[in-house]
Amino acid sequence: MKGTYLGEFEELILLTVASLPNEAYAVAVKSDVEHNANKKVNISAVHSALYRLENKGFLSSSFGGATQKRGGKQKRYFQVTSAGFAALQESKNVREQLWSVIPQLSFSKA
Amino acid sequence: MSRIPSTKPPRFGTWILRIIYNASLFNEVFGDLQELYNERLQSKGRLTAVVHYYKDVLLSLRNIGLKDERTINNNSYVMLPHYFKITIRNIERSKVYSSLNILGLALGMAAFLFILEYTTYERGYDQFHPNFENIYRVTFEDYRNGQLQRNSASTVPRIGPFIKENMPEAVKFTRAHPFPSLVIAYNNKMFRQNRVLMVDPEFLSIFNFPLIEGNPETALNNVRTVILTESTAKKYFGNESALGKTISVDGIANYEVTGVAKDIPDNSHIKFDWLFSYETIKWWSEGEAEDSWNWNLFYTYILLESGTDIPAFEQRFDKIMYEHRSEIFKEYNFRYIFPLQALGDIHLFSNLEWEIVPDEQGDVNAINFLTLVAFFILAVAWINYINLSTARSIERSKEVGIRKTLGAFRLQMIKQFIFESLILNIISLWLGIIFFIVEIKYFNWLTNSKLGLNFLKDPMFWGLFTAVFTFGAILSALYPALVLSSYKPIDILKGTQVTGLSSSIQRKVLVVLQFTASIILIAGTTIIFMQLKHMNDQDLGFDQDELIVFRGPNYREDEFDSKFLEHHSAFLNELRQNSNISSIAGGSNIPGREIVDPAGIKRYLDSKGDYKVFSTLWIGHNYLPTLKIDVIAGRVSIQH
Repeated sequence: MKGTYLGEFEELILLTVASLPNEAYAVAVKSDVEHNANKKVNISAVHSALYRLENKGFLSSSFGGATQKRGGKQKRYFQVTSAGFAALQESKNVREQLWSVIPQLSFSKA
Repeated sequence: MSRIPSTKPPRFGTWILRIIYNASLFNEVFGDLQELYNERLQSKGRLTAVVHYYKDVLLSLRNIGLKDERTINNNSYVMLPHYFKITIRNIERSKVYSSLNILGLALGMAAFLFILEYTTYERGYDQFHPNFENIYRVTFEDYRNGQLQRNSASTVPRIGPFIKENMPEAVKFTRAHPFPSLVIAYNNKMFRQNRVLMVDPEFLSIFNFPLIEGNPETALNNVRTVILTESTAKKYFGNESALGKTISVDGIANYEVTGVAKDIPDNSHIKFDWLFSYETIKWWSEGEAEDSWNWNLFYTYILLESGTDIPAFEQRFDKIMYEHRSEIFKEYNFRYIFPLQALGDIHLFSNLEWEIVPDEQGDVNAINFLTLVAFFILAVAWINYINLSTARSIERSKEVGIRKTLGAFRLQMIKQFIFESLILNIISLWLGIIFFIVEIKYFNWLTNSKLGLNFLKDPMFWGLFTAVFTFGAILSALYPALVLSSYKPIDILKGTQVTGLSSSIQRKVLVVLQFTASIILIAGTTIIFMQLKHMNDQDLGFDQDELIVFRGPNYREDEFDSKFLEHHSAFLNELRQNSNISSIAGGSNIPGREIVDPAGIKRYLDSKGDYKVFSTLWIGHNYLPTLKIDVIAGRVSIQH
């Protein structure tokens, strides 16, 4: 299925949303990704990924509170759906599968 | 004391952002960007915040076209029943407005349908013959001294066989010789029959005039055999079978009925009650009806192989024809040409002398013009609809305000108004069809025509109609929908005047258009009415008041001299006894009918001069005074 493919950045965002229960809105996701992955991320990229993931059915969303800082605009909070978790699990399985067959030798060299 | 920093990011950036994101996404995205802006404002200062804000906005360009599937997919279908309910409520709430609007549209649609039905009928003439596309009528052009003397639908009898002999593409031909007046009798029942055609046996296989009784292969093979139509058979024989009965024609000879044909469809340019076998006219004319190159009262139809190139065919045939007849052509300095005419074109496009039923010929220009008028009327009806809808926009604006406040998007409002308009249009359409069905009955009664609902079976019509209807309904809905949905809730709810300048100008334009169209149509109708009145009041050059015309009985040529004059004077004497009759006269024809007696005339003393063909009228001595016809020069009455 074409729609279920997870890009690297998408996976990162999805994992971040999963790690931030009940507070995953775009700005929070951005700062968390920057903190964990140790790289700068633009907010527009986060928006793009979040909405794309939602359209794919990996995320669901609901409106949350507004703050003064936001000019009274509401936040949109995201949650990982079961389809989202399944996609993450699949991606993890593939990686573990690959790790398990890498010969131990290659580590010592590195 | 520190200055309270502005929490609003630069407006220009926000404006770009508004363009990038659609309305439903904009708020939350803008919230996020604003939050970041404020954080940077506090930690790093205004400049960095502004620069970063613009960077965020510009990078957001990547999200152009990002769809918010949440809002688009869910609402529109769910809302339809609700829109329907609101439509019905609106109709109920303002009954006068709604009925005006619906009635106006319905009348327009009825007129549209009605005219379209008429034009479809006119355009569909002769198309009930399955191979009408390959049937052609041979017409006749007669040039004398290079001048066209006669351009007629009827031609000479030899041409049919001649085409068949010389042109391999010609599959079959048939001639039809009209015989305008025969007294046909069966026992005591005696009627003058005017719709008699004498036709070749192939007439029944080229055309689609099916027989109810009799064998179409053999019915017209022998001399003195006839076919009559169903209703004529009923007139003569009641419920008995007509087949095999013997009838008498003009009291001279007996004929055998060999077939009964179904009544002819109204949209056939060929009309008959009786078909006589061609052998009969050959017998009457002692073979001349087969060989003559001069006798020119024969309608000739040929069936060509499909795909025949008509201009090439005509050209080739003309050459063969010329070679065959060139000696005679040269000797008498004349020339015959026989152009072909497609069967489907005869009713609307043909305007020749001697049409088979001249009164019924249609005119393609009139039909095209009527079609234009039909679309015109429909357009006026829709413009009227648009005006009435926008005129009521102030009333509906409150609804728009409330809906928008409750979160309706503009697109949804547009959808609602288009949906509403479609419902009104469909109601009008049904009403229009009802009007149309009622109207057509009266029209048929008034004009003695037989328009039906035939066009309802025509897929072309439905295609066109659906296209026009959908296009018009949506177009007429679009303008009110755009105007109404554009209102800002804040203006409406504050009670500010909402009808802007632009909308009133547009409405004025539409009103002017509508009035212009209406006035053109009304003026057209008035002109036609006055023309008809003028035509009726016109001095015809003779007086038809208090005038009665009798058609004389038929005589055989050899009896004519002896019997006709005797009977005629006896009849006149009888009439003269009656004191109520002031004047009596006889003649070979009367004004108002096509004068059908061609005669070649030249000056007596001019030995070199050529004969010119004139239509002539033979009259008794009292003819001109009786009809009150003025004479420009010469004596009026010649007594013998």
